[in-house]
Order: sequence, then C-alpha cells, then structure tokens
Amino acid sequence: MALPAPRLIFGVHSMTPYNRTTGEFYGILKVLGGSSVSLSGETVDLMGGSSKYAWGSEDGPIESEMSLKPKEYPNFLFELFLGKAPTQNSAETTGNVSTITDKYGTTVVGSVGIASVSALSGSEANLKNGKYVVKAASATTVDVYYSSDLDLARGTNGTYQDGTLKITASPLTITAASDTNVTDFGFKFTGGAGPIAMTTGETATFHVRPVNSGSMEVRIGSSSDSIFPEFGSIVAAQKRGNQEMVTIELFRCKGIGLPLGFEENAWSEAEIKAKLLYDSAEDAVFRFLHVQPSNT
Amino acid sequence: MPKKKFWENEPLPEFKTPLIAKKDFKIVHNDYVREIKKGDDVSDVPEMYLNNLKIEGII
Repeated sequence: MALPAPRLIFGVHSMTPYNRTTGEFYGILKVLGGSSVSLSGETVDLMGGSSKYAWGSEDGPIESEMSLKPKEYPNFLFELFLGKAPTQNSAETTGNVSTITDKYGTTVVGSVGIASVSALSGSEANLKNGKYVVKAASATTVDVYYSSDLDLARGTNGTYQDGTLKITASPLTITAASDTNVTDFGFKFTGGAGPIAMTTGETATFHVRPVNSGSMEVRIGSSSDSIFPEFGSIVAAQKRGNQEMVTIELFRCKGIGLPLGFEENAWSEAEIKAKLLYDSAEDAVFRFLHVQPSNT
Repeated sequence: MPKKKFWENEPLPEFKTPLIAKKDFKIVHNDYVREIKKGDDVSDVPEMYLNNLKIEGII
C-alpha cells in the first residue's frame, strides 16, 4: 500500500464572516495578507517532592484566536471590530455641503451671521472634499480655512493664502439675507436676517463632499452606540493546482479593535485578532474541512 | 415754441449727502469689491452694504 498524498495548505484565499443569528454573510475579505488560527494549549503539571519531573499532567486551557491581516476595509470590518455599521451614501450629483454649525461662540451661525451654507449652483464641480472653518474677521466679514490641499485642484484651483490654511485673500462680506459666493470652492454663504453683527474671532465649521458616485461615513466611539457582535466566519486557503481545498469554519468569534494605518508609499494593512469561542449549538469551536475534488 | 431750458430736458442730478468713512475697510461681496480709506466719500456704496458699514463703525 502506497503512502497517502500529504495534506498540504498553501496561502490564503478569503475570509467570510456571517451573522450567527440569521446565517447571512456580511461580505467577503479577499485582499488579505494572512488569516491564521492559533490554538495554543498548556498542560497543568503536577510537581512535588524531590522529583525534577512531573508526576502527572492534564490538559490546560487552549488559547484560541484568529488573526487577520486585511488590506481592504469593507463596511463590515467597522461593524464587527469597531462596533458601528457605516452609513453608505448614494451618488451625489451636485456634491454635498453639510450644515454649518458654531464651533467657538454663537454668533457666526444665525440671524446675525450666516444662516446657511450650500452648494453654489453652476459651480458644483468646484466643490472640494474636506472640512472648512469660518472665522469672523470682523462684525460683518469672515475668513474661510480649508483642512487640506488634498483636493485643492478639483475644478477651479484653490490656493492657500498662508500657513493658517486660509483660502480667502480678503475677508468676505456677509450681508443680510443675501448670498456671498465662494465660487472657486463651489459653495455660498447665505446671510442671516440681520443686521449682521458677528463677534470677531468666533468660528463655525462645515464639511463638503464633491460631486461623487458614492461615499461612506461612520462615527466610532460613542459609548451608547457601540455594539461588537459575535460572528461566525469561514476562512479559505488558496485552492491548490491539484484542486485541493481547505476551509475552516469558526462558529463563534469575537473581535474588538481595528488599526487604520497610513504609511508612506505603502498599502494600508491592518492586523486584527478575534477570540474563538465554544459554540454550544454546534458543540464545537470550529470545523476543519479538506476536499480533494475529483472533477474540475 | 420757446426752446426749453437745459434743466427742463434733463433731470437734475440727485444730490447725495457725502458719507465720510471714519476708517479703512474693504467690502468683498461676489463681484462687488470696494476698498475704502479713511476720509473717502462712501455715499455711492450700494444701500445693501450701508448697515454693514454702520455696524463696522465706518459711517
């Protein structure tokens, strides 16, 4: 009788988490640097007397853990490991300008300052992604600051005036109930009912999204709004040239934490871990499956 | 028919009381930009900006 073919495992293909209640898949992770299952156990040894060796040994606990190295960031990663499902926005053909809100003081936004900020019709192509700060330069004028030059060249080029990230060459005049256009940046301020009388130095902020085919947003960290669900997952090794496949189904996983790295000239890769727990319904922690198909 | 006097043909120019700027200021509002220096007559500034000039202490 010949020796059987060795059972070999090569590479990683995917990790597929699923909802433990409904069985539905959250999605699939394919851009993976690795996905491994660690099962390290200890023995509990009985030492005593003058013997240098154990009198007995029994099974200790097994530390069971899955480690993942995803290089992509689908929505479900935020839900499973940061406790909050993102909001996926549909396409915005005229971009998006958020509501302007006071940051320091109370006079920039309102009847004595700016009633609202909105996209400037016909100049939406100039909307530039990022956060903006509006600062009262005097009672009736404001300067505007923009968070990064990442998107400064979208549409009509914008320019910084100085190192404070100011984009207004001169303070803009806000007039009661009329629009002040910031054309190169695609938005306009509408003055409050007036009379305009802001307090110098007070500020307000708003965000802009350019014309887009979609966007995602998630706010992480609320103590009242974070749920880290247990989940099942199926890890698949790379299919070998002889069609051999290996999958591991982990019935009950729990993870917390998702590093978000930005490295110079490198793709972002996270390293995350999930505990593997006993599933009483399955009476198991995981299932290891090896298949050697006989057809292609 | 007697020839009309010149003031009967043309409307008399509107007389505006001068408004003298008390300090420097600049209005930048869409296409309207007006650099004001202390002592300038700002009576020609559009009415929509007069409240602003009062609030700023220019007039």
